[in-house]
Amino acid sequence: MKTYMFPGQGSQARGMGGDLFDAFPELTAKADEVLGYSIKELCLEDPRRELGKTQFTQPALYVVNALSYYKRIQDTGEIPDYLAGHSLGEFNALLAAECFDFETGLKLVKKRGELMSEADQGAMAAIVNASRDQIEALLREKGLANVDIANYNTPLQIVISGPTADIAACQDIFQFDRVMYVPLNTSGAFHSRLMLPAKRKFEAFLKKRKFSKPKIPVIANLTAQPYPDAAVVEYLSKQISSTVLWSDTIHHLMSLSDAMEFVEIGHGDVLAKMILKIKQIAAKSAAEQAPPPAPVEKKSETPNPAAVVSAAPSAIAATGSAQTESNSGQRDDRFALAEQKVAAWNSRHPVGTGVKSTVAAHGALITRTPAVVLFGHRAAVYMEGYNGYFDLDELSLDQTSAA
Amino acid sequence: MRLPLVFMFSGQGSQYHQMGRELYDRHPRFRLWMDHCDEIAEPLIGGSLCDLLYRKGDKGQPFDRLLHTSPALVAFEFSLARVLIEEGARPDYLLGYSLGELTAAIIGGALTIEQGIGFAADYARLVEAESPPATMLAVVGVSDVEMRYAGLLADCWVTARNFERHLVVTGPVDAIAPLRAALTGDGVVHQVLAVKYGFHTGMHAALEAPFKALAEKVDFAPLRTPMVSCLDGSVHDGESDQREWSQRLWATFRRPVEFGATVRGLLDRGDFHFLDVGPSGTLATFVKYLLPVGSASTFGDVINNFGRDERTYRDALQRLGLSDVSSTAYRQASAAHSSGRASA
Repeated sequence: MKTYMFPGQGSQARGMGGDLFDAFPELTAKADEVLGYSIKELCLEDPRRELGKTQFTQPALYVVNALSYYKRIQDTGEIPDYLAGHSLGEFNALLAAECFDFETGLKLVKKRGELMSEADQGAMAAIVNASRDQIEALLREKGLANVDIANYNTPLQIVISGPTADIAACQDIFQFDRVMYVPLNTSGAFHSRLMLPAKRKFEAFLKKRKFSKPKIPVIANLTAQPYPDAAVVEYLSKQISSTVLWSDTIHHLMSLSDAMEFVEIGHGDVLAKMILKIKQIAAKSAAEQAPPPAPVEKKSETPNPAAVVSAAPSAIAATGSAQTESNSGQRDDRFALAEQKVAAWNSRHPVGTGVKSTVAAHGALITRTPAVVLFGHRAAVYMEGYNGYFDLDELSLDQTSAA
Repeated sequence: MRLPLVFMFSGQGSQYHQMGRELYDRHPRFRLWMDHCDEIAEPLIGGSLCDLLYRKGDKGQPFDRLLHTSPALVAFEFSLARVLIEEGARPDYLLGYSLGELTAAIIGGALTIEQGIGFAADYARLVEAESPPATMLAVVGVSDVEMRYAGLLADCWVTARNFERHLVVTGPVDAIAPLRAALTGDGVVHQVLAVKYGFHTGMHAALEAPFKALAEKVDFAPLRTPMVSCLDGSVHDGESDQREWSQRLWATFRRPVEFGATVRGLLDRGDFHFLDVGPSGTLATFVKYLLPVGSASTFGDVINNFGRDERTYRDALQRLGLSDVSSTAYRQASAAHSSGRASA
């Protein structure tokens, strides 16, 4: 089984496409005609420094992805079993599935790039080493309701998107434990509510066209499921303002075959690196599903930042992943209960509250974050100086240090 | 009313093995960012930065292989600046000394850390391949070096003017040797820097085209914090043209570092707290000698060559009216942890 996948914005670089333009002169000429400028010059020389601007980046990536695909088919004759594309790359997946032809796809992408570049209010940042649950809980906690999740790239690499000031405010929130905040250089808040006007205009543009049903299954950013037969208009327009479910897409594809081979078609290796991370995290969490060995107490001068301080056998690993729940009804109840506990805790105890563990002699502890729901059912709070979460059920207030 | 804060990033020559070792061992967030940089740099330099710095490097051994020192300096200064910012120290200005300009551009948001480390490694490879060996010599305590040793300076360049009695002279190894002999004979204090190439000299004129080709590949985003250029003290902010960046970076590496004039220019605008976010505290020392008597400006370092990083770091935060949450918490926690064990 083979999946071809196409990268999106962030993969562009001057020099991309190399000799593909000369190898496919007719398609290159067609692209020039649609765009009104030389695509080869833009990709190879970028004399006016436009390659980083969304309205140019998108057509450039689309053309390079497309030519790379044709070259691959020419060289190997291998048609993939599945297709996927990250954000802009989804247009190339649909092109490869013959939903539209090269020229139509380019016109769509040109329009999409223009609409998205007009929505230039907003910013994006990557949050690394925090789970989706954690991020969403903290955003709720801090009242940052305008921040959306743009990309769910890997279980521990999530991109947030929204108004510039709100994204900047997130830097202070996402600097605990091993969590890293990394600002991204994008011109706007892609895949967020700020893109709704662009989404509506793009939808109107798409509705004027007819699309064929995919000849090869395309796994959609919007659902992480295969594209239904007549969903191109709905999915491609919604995709602009909703989360790219990339990690779920890869997990879906991996579940189809133990030996699924992923081939990145286009410039660079951004997606290949993500898959490596996704597989590493999956392997790690599989290992963590096994009962953990008893914590070894050793006096060490140097902390291991990745170490999880075990308050008790039931302590929660900061890097843990959601346990699979067989009973979804039961899961909802537990989630609701945990949410209640969290809300109650946060209404009474600000960050910096002194507490004690009721199950282990840790001495005075100080909370470093608001309480959050972890893994969909655990109410927990992060402590200063410990690389791990403590279950709210195992804490009592430390009266001695109450300030 | 706090003084506006200037983060200063030092350049080549300020690095040494084990720089920030204690902080790396005891400050989880500093370690996190260093390891993050290590991961970025590893494929570019074919080895681990943190191994080179902390696990293989002996403080007494020279640390001067450019391909290692450039990314290491950028990684170190970036990580240190990030933890300071996380503790609440928000710079109002960023001042980069030579290579430090690259870290300033990263912290200012013009470059991502991947771009910055990538550029540092690319430039290091270029210099290693194309540049003849040279000596960079700091000369201290004489105010008229350029006049007094004019003859011996004929084939050399003054590459930095740090304060009135401190400058750097750079030239081919053979040209610097007689100057060193004369300085020794006259009892003038001087020190060879841990840099083996003729940065900021005509020896690098041939590197201009390949350097600009490297810089042209990089997309610079608008700065979010203003940068002060050590070329002439000019302040740059917000949007700027890609070509202007490439020009200015080249000038930064090719022309002398006018650190003294730059700081004096800032002092004409008002008073500042100058914080040296490099590994050796040299820039803080330069500022000390540049401040006029009675100046309300202040200065400090965060890490220096004397070890005891944690203490220096804590003092630096205290001077800014901040407390060091991460490592204090860690110390309290480990104390609590061990006392907890003792009583268990």
